[in-house]
Amino acid sequence: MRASNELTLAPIVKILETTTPVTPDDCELLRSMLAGDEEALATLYRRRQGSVYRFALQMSGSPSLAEDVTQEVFMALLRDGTTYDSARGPLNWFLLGIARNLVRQRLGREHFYTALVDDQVDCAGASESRTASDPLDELTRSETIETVRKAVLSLPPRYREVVVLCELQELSYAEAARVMDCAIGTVRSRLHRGRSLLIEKMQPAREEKAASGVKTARCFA
Amino acid sequence: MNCESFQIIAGDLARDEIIEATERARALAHIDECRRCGQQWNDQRELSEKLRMVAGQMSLLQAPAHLEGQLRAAFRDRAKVRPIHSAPRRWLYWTGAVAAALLIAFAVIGWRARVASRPQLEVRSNIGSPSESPPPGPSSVQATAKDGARNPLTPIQKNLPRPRRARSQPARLGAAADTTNQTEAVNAPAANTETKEVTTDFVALGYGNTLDLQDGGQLVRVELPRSALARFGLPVNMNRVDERVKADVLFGTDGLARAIRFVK
Repeated sequence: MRASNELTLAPIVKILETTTPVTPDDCELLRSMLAGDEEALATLYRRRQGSVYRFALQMSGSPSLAEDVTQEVFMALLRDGTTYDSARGPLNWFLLGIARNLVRQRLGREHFYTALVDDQVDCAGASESRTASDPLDELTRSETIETVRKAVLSLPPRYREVVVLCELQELSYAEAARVMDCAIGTVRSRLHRGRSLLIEKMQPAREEKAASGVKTARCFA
Repeated sequence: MNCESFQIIAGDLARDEIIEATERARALAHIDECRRCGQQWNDQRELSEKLRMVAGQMSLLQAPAHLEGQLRAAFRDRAKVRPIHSAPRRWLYWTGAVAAALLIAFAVIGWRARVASRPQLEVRSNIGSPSESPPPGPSSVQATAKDGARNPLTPIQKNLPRPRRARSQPARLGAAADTTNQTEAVNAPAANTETKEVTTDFVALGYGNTLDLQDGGQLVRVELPRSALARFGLPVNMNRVDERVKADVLFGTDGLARAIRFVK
């Protein structure tokens, strides 16, 4: 009886094994990577490089700095990966924590605050995915995004990192607190202050736009 | 809700964070009442929308493809370098282990040699030697010899000298001996001639009063009430509580009792 069950279940098990590929989690990949598995490194890198790169870019506004930081983060993982404790949170937080420290060091050293010139090149791929129904709308949208990015980059680093983590990386307060290694209350208060500063910074742009809109109307009249 | 309370939660409200339903309702009601807070609410919502727009636009950004290649190359280099570094480390490890083992071995040998060179505890019988008669013991202690029925006040001494101070011992002991009854000491047989005695370990008398007998000492046989056993945590046979029990009291050169052991 038992033998017949095994016989009937065997093909199903085989199908399940082939149809549901086992995706190793970050910890397993890290372990394999530290044991010398290059493919594990590649998988882990492909999985996590996006958030690290975006964070560094949003914090610095410099693609070259973001590249450096991304590379350094993974090099640090290669070097000090054993210090990661899975009980303290997912690997992504750990990587973002390293990236945060590196960005702060680099910003303090090199003063990258408004390097925005070549950022639009990187964003082009993202905008292509969207269907541009109206070129004017698309232009307005790009202008708005640029204004917001400039405003974010002009924030003091302590507020900027909270805005980037909570608003642009869409982490919760608790997650951001773990990345920043501070209390949730600190995250909340800094985000509140950061948002207020952003509104203040974007106020002149809005008034200017309104003023330019009036001029245009006069012209048409 | 007042403006101040509203400002505290305005950001969370605009970010669609979880807020209590009643508080949310009160905040929205306040927006209708207060024009200034209404404006702030609009600003916050507008900011949230714009930030979402930026986040959405940047969500597809990836690090350049060449970074992966660089990282892989660095990984391979590191893997190549590792054995080169690990070889001397392993050599150092084994060298350190051997050195530590040798050190421990030398330390043990040295310690054993030192212990072996130390003189054994000498127990001398002072019987018949007037110059080495014991100093007077505590007045409450009644000294007695093995056959104490005959000479109940005869002390039995054991001198415990260190080699470098051996010369000074007799003089000091001799001085103390002047106060004792020499004839009684002569008549007393040696305690260590007794072969069938069973003794307890020495029990220190008083804190910090350890068996530090570098300057020598004296062992005095005494008889005590059996109830004295209880003071040192030893069991007392209540049927024989009236009987006396023999004990050896160890005196230092200062005349103070240092330790005691009971003899059966």
